[in-house]
Amino acid sequence: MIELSNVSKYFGGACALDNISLKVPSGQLCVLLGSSGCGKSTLLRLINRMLAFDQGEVRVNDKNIAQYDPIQLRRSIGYAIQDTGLFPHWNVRRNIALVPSLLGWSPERTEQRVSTLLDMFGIAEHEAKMPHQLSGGQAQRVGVARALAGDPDVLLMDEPFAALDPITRVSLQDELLSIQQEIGKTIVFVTHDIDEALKLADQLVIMANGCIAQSGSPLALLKHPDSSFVAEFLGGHERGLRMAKFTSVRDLCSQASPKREPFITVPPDMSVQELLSLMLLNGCASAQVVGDRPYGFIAIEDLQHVAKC
Amino acid sequence: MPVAIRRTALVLLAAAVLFLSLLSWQPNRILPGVGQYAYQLLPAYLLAALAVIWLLSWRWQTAFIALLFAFPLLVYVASLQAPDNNRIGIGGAVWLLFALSMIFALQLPRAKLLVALLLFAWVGLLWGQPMLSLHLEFVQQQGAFWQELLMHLQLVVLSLAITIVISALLVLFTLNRWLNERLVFAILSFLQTIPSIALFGLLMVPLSLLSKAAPWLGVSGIGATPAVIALVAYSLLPMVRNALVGLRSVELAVLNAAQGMGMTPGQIFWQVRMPLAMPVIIEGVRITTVQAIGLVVVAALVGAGGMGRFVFQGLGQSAMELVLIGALPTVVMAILADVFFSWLAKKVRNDRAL
Repeated sequence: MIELSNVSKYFGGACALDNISLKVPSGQLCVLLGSSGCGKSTLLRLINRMLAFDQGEVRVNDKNIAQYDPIQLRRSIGYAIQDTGLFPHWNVRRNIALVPSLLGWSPERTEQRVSTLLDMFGIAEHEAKMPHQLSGGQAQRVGVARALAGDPDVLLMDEPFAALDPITRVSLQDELLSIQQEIGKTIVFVTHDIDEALKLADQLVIMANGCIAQSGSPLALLKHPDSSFVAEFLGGHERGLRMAKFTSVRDLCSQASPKREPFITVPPDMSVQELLSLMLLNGCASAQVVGDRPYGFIAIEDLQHVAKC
Repeated sequence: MPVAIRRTALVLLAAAVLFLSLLSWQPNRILPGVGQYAYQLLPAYLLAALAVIWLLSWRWQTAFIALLFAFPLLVYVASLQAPDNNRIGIGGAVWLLFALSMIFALQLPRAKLLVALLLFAWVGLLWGQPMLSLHLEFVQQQGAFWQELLMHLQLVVLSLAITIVISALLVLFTLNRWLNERLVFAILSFLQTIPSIALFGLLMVPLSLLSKAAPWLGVSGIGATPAVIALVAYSLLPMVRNALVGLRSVELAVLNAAQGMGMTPGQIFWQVRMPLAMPVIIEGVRITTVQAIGLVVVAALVGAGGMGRFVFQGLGQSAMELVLIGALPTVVMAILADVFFSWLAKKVRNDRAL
């Protein structure tokens, strides 16, 4: 668990973080979203004491981080960054083994841990390669594997996928989600990519000018933005489509038989956004939802309720 | 080898044979010799050489290699015609042939082996003809030669060691901002601009005063002390500059990650920054060493010894052979140092890339 209470940070006279309070429960993935200069990376770097703050208190696992030795604190927290920061003179295996060796693990335990991670991220075949021989996606997988090597409870990720091409980025996001389901770390993830944030977040924190503009679940923020800033930031008029993306057709379909013949059949976990797209493509107004059992029907009029469910 | 280079080679060869003396007969060490031209000494052999050149148009590569090895042999045969008890001076044509054969050997396949064999052949010529003035001069200086060669190397190694220690401290202080970087570079650049002879002279006065005031220090106004101090002064700039450039060129993301992973500043320096900067630092050592090998020659002026002793003695006596006894080994040492440190830097770089 990570808990920030009334944290402020000044650079010179300028206020970088203004009285931030934030709680990330254990096992949750918290995304800090904001445009550059909003203080999201600064906030992240306070947690492992890469930066000092001026006021307030940060607690990691119910212990004030001021009571930790900063070196020991960082070894107990995973850290992944945009440019990977892999050591160019070490091969993949040695890069991943960095924190275990800093922690003084036995060689056998380190070997075993590294092998587990290599398999988990599907990079076992690259273990002997040097970082410059890896593609961007492979390098970032190594970067995240390295961050997890010491088996930390807490993982900090600073725009880890920002430099990747869209296809690689999406596949790494999917991998992160499935790995997170398995390992259940407490993750703070910084990004400026709204779709990435909505996709990954259990808890989404929108930041602006060193303050938290709003925080909550992605759907809650999409449906009930506190301010016009948040509404605009989440896409303005396109917010509805993003909402549709995070709602599945299962939640909108009804048993009532349609007035028109259904033209298409869709699975229950398809997103409403995808359904809408299919309707546009096929020029049809209703669909039948079929999974392991028939779920019912959905018509184009039903889509207007997406904000209410 | 491009045709243009082959043509240039043939023209230069012809010029060497026609207009430069191949050898000279010197009745004694003082008198200038009488130049002997290739066409006087070698009419028959020249014809053979020309025949080989004619072959170039057919299987030129084989013929060319044969020609390169024929040069030292031709010179040796020519030297056999020297009158008794005459010293044999080496003429401009021989130097040109030597230089040309090295340049062309480097263009051919298996260049390294070829160059080594050719050097072997030319040194064999030097050894095989005891009346060559260079050979005679060397025999005369043999005792002093090895002693001075050792001295030369000692001065280089000692100044290199001191330079590395001082540079390490300067780099450390500069990186930690205990020293102003601009000031450091201003001073080191200023030292570089002082002519070496002036610096030796400037050092003599304070050092001799110091040796009088504190004889137990073992320093003196002339000899090794001013030489080493001056060498260090010249070596600091390339060494410090390369070390700083190397250490600074490490990517910020790498240092950021190292810190974020919980490495201590000492671990970051020794395990990340130093290994990554090493090729550039070795490059600095290379520049410094090659420069120092050359500068030690001048240090002979203040009585430090080394190869410079032969150079300045030879200049004083107008004995070019004696100058060469000092100059040639200096050139060879500089080339060897250059090759060695280039190889080392490349190896360090490759180890990283593997």
